[in-house]
Amino acid sequence: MTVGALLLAAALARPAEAEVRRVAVIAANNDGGMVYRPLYFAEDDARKMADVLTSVGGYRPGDVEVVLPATARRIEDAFADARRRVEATRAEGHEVVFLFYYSGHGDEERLLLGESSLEYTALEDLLASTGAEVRLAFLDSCNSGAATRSKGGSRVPAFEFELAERLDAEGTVIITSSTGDEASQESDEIGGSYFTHFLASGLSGAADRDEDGAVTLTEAYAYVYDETVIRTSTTRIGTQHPTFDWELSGEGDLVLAELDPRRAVLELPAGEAGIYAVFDLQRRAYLAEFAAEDGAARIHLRPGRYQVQRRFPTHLQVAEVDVDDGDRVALTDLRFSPLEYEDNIAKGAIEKRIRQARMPDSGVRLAVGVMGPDRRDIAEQYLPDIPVAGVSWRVAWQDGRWLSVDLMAGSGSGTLWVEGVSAVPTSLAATTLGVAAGYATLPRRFQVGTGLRADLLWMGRRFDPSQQIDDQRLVTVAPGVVGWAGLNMGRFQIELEWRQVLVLYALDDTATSFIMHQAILGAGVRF
Amino acid sequence: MLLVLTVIACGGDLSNQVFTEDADFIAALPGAEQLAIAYPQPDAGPVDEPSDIYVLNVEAVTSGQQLLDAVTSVTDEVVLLPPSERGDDYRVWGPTPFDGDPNLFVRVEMSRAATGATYGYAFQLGETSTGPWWEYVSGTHVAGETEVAVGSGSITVESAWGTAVVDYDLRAGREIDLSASQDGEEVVQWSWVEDDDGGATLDYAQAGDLVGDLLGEEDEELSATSAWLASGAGRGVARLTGGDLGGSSVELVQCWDEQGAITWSWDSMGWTEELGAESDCPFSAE
Repeated sequence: MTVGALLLAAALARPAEAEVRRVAVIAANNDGGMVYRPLYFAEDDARKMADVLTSVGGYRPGDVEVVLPATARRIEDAFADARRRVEATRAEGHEVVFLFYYSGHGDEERLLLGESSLEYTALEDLLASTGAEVRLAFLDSCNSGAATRSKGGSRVPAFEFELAERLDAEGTVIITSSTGDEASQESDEIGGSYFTHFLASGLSGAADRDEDGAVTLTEAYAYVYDETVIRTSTTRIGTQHPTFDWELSGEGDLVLAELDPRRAVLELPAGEAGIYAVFDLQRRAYLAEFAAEDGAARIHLRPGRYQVQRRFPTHLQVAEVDVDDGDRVALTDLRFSPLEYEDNIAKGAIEKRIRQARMPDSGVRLAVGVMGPDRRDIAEQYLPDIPVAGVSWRVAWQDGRWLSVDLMAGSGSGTLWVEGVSAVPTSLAATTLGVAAGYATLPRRFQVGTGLRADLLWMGRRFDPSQQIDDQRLVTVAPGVVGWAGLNMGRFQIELEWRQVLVLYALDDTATSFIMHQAILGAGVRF
Repeated sequence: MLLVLTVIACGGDLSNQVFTEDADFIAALPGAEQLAIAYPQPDAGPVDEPSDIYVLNVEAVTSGQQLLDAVTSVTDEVVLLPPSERGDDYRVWGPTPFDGDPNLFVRVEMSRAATGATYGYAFQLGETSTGPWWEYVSGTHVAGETEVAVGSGSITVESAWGTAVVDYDLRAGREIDLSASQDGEEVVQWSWVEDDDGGATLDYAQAGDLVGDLLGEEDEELSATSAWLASGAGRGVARLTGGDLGGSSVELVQCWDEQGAITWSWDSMGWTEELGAESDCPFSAE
C-alpha cells in the first residue's frame, strides 16, 4: 500500500462531517417524435454537462446518472435511483442538492422523448419525490419556459443571493433555456445548444465572477442569461431568453458547482480584448467561451491538452497548452499564431458531429399502382397499361435530401390495336428497378417531395399460342422525374407517388420516345 | 437518331412488324370498301316513268356488286382471325367454318412475290376442316405505291353458274371491269370507271334474246354506254344489234334526272315516242 493510499484511507476513516452533496440526473434525446426534426446536439450537450459536473463541478461520478436516449420510463427509473441515493446520503446526515438536466424537444406541456413524453407537472412531482432539500431542473428545450410560466415564472434578469456555506434554502428551482413561446437554438458553430454551452462554460468557472471557487445559482443564471441573449440576438430565429422560477425558502445562495481547487485554471485578465474559445483536443469538444469585460474570467480544466482560440472579426489566433492539476495559466502568456478560419481544427470535429446528428430516417413501403405510356398510340399498339406492385425504400436526410430505391413488377392482359388487323390479345409483364433522389419537405404530418429518377425498365409481351409469335421484350434505362405526397401517422406512412420516365426506343425501326407513367399508392413504416 | 436510341436501349425485340405484315396481306385481299361501286340511289324511291337505261345500269351494277360482295365477305371473315400460319412470304387463314354455308369450311392461302409488291391468293372450300379443298376464288393483287390496298389486280370466281372475272385498278380514276361467262361464252361484260368529281361511266354488254317476244328467237347483242353525275342524273345510249334484227340496229338515247326519271328519250327506229328534249339532259353527248 502506498503512502497516498494510506492517507486516503485515513481520510475516509474520519467521522463524516455534515456537508452538501450533489446528485444529478442528466437526460437527453435528439428525437422528439415524428413531428419534429431530430436535434443535432441534444445528447452531446447532456454528455458535456455530465462531464463538466464530474470533472470540475464537484459532482462525484457515482452521483451523476446519464440517461441517453431518454424516455419517460427511463427518466422515472433514474429518479427512483436518485431518490434512493438521496435517502442514503441524508441518512448519513448530509444535505442534498438534486440537479436534473434535460436537453431535447419539448412543447408547452411536456418534454418530448422520442415516442414518449413527460408532462411538466409530472416532472415537478418527480423532482419533489427525490427528497433532496433543493431540487434544480435545467430544461434546455423549445417552449420549456412553459414549465416555469405555469408556476408564475417569467423572464428574470440577473439577481443576487447571499452566498452561504451551508445549504440554508429548501425548495425547487427550474431554469429553462427559453420562454414558453420561444425556440431553443442549436448552433453548428459551437456544436451544441447555446443554453447548455454557456451553462457548461459557466459551471466550468466562467460564471464565477467573484472568484470564490464556487459557481452559485445566481452566478450561473446571470451568466447563462446574458450570454444566451447576446449570442441569440443576431440569429435568424431570434433572441432566446432563459427563464428562472424558484420556490425556495430560507436565505442564501445555492452553490451549483464547487470548482475543484486542484484543477488547472485558464485565466483571462481583465481588459483583454477578444473572445476566447477553449477546445478539449483529446475529446474533440468545444468546452467554453469567455471574454474579459468587466473583470477577469477563468475556467477550470481537468488535466489535458487544449486549444485556445482567440477570435477577432477578421481573423483567428490559436495556441495549444498542456495543463495539469494545479496549473494556473494566463491566456495572455500563451504564444498565439494566426490561423485562417477555414483551418479551424474544431470545425472538423463539429462538422463530424453534425453529420452524425443528421442521421437520415428511412422507410420501407409496399406499393401498388398502374403503369403505362403517356402516348395512347403506344399504349394501344405496343404496351397496354398494367397494374404493378412492389417495394420501395427511401432514406431522407434532415436537410431535405432523399434517396430511394424501388422494385416494381406487374403483369396484365390487354389488347393491341394495329391498323389493318383485328384486335390482338396480349399479356404484358413489366419490372422496374428505380433509383431516385431529390428534396422533400420536413417529415411532418404532411410531406411532399420531388426529384429525379432512373429506371432499369424491362417489359415483355406474350401472345396467344395461336398467334405463333415469340415472346418479345424491351429493356432500357429510362431517366425521369418523380413527385410524391405522404401522410405521416407516427411511424406509419401513406403515400401517393407519380413517376415519369422517358423511354427512348426504336420501335419497328422507328425512333420513338414516350413517357412511361407510374401512379403509385404506397403504405409503409419509417424507422 | 436511331443509332443513339439503339445505344441507349439495352436491348429487346419489341415489334409489331408481324402484325403490320399481316395487315399488308389483308390489304391485298379484295375488300368491300375498295370494290364498292357507288351508284347514286334516288331519294324518293321508284318513279312512274324511269329511264330504261338507268334501270339497266342499276341492275347491272347491283348484280356485279352482289358478286363482289360474295368475295369480299370472305375477306371480312378472314380478318377477324389471326393467321393460322405465317411465313416471310405467305399467310394462311383458317380453316374456319364458312359463314355462307355451315356445312363447309373456308381456308385462305396467300403468297407474296419476292419483290414484295405482288400477292396471290386463293379462297378454298372443303367439307371438313382437313380438306380436301377446292378453289372457288383466286386472284392476284399488285400493291399500290402508297398503300397496298390501292393497287390493281384480278379476281376469278368459279361457281356452278359459270365463271366471273373481275379486273380492277383502284388508283385514282378507279376502274372495275367484270365479265361473266357460261360454258365458255361471255354473257355479261361491264366496265365501270369512277370520275374524280363523284360521277362515273359504265359500259355494259349483254348477249341474249332481248327482243324475242317482238321479232324472233335469235340472240341479240346489247351494248350500253352511260355516264352520270355525282347527283345521279345521267345520260346513256343503248344499241341493240344482231340476232333477230339481222343487219340492222336500233339505238336508244335517254337522259334521266336525280330520281332516275326520263327527261329525254329518243330511239333511232321510232319505236317509241320521243319524250322531252335533249336540252333537258344534264350534259351533252360529249
